[in-house]
Amino acid sequence: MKRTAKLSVTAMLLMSIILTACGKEDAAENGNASKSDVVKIEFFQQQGEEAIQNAYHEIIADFTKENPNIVINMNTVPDPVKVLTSRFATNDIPPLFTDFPTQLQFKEKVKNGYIENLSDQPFIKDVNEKYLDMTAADDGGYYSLPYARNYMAVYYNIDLFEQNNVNIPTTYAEFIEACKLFQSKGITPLYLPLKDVGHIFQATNIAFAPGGVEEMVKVANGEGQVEGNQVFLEFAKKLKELTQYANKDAFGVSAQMMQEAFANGQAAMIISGSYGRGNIKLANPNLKFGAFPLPNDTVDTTTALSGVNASLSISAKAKPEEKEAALTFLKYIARPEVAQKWSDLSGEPSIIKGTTYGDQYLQPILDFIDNGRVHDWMSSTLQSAIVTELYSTTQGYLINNETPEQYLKNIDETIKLNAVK
Amino acid sequence: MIGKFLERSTYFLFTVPAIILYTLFFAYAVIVGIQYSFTDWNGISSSYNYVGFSNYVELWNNPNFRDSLLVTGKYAVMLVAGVMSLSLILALSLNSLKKLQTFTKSIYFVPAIISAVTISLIWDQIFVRVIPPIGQALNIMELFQSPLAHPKYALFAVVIVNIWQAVALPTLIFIAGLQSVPSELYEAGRIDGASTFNRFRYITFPFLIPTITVNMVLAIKSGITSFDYAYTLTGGGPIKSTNVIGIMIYNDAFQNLKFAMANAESVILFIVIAVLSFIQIKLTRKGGVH
Repeated sequence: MKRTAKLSVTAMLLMSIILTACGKEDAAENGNASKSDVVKIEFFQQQGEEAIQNAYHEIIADFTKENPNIVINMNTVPDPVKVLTSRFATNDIPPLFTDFPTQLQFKEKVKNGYIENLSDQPFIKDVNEKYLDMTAADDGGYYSLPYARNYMAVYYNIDLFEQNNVNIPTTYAEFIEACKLFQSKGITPLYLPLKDVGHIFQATNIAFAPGGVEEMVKVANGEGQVEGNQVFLEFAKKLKELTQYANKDAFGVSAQMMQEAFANGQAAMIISGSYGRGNIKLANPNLKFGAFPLPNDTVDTTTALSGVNASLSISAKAKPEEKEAALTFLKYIARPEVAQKWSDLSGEPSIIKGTTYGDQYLQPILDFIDNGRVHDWMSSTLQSAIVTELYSTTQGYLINNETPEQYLKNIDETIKLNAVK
Repeated sequence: MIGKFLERSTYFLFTVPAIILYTLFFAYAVIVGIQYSFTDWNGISSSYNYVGFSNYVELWNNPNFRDSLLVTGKYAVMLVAGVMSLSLILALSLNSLKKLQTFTKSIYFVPAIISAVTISLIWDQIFVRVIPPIGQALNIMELFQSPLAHPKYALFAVVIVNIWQAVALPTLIFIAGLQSVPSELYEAGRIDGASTFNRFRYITFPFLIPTITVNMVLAIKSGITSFDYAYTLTGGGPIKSTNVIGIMIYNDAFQNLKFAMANAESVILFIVIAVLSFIQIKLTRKGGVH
């Protein structure tokens, strides 16, 4: 009897410990928070590149000196787009986060009231209007602070170009000529990361098939097909031709490995996003490299892929004090001198007025983007489910050595299969 | 009266914490998941509609889903075969060691304490930086590139990495099973003139059957629900050749905003695992020393 009673008490104690454990922790935390006025907020930052993370760390450290009552914990995870979506799905939205305001997914979040409207904030006026306009939501409001632009371009090794008397190609024919020349001298002309084929697909499609994205949107809407489309056929042929001048292990190489290889002088050119610049600089600070748009047949038809980079947003579901702290941070980070420091450290071209890009070799690509033909990332007009599935289709085309005609047929099928009705 | 009640309820009370936790973290999640599979929820929107079985019908007609199930099946078969045979061989070898048995066992257990992501990243570098030079030196065309770059070999390469880590635990379980065999049986077998194979077949094997069941269930489950190795090493590529069902579910939910569809895929996966486990337990229940 005594033993049974003891056992019962132990069992009940066990249960009560489990049921109260979480509550106790919360109570303790609340107690501490009320004692001091320090507000801690999570900053979910999506760009994992080391240089960009370092830049944010420096800016946050400066901010904390000026605002000791606000603690910003930057959280950068692998695969951030999916992690952020999962946090939205579970209503665990970080109070401050970076996201891509031109993409359809972001607009869906805005439509559901998850993101704070920043249209009336004074710092919105500090953003370059051309890029700010790209970020307007369906209701015309601004729900993020666009901080930098990005682009896909050909990065070239200036020393290798000079040593071999190669001029910057302005047409596709000149580009192929340059590739042939490097190849004849035993230099890998182009280092391609076909394991991460996605951005190569986007950059080449936008460069070689002007209006191609819009054609694919039509396919998704059931209004057309790319099969038999001459412009698409040209794109498919050129994409395959590029692989002839690429590194032999291209299909096993990731974008990061490509940046390392380029930094170490293993190739004359790479097709890279602006986000790669910081990593290349970190890997080899002495490398002299510039950028030019991936050329099409003529200068007039050359189009560069460029858009708004990860921008800063505030959760509409955050607590008032968290929103206040996040807003204070946005006001701080929008100052021209802060944006300039961030741009210098990260290597990203800032779009805050009053900043300059401190790289004479990369300035020409920015000038081209400002004055030439540009197109935004595909996910701004095509559902991301389609875009990512097209990466796989493109891999199939290149690895299985399919014909361009078959590739176009597969593109149509992929789009139709993955279009969300 | 109270005494009787306490006596009856004591053992039940001990199970209550586990039941509460299980219900909270497992049963509830499963029920909600099944519910979502009948909707059109995209994961972000605050409202959704019930669409009946249309997600299941769409999956039935989706070639990607069928391919993914096939890839998962191949993966699971290779994993189970690799893990079961290797861990049994390892267990038999380690169990027969006369010296330094504990030390050697701990060395073989090291991969089990490293996270799958870390192991994948290490192997990814081995595949891309070590294998191609070896391939070129030996002039083996297939190895000129990382095996992960080729749709034919990528799945096999991912399974090898998984096996490398996954053999540790089953090996330990097999060793425990081997140590439960009374040594006098072997002695009697030897006196009766039984060969090494016959001693294994008629003495060791029956004692090992319960551990084989445990290891088999664990291996099948881990093969079918595998995600981390393929995701870290290949992301499901190249050309979806390693797109196991776990990756498809993850991408559909958090990348493609087809949350309800991802739930329908999970429900099907759940049913497949339940059926396989049931058959497997039924088959191995007979025979063996328990």
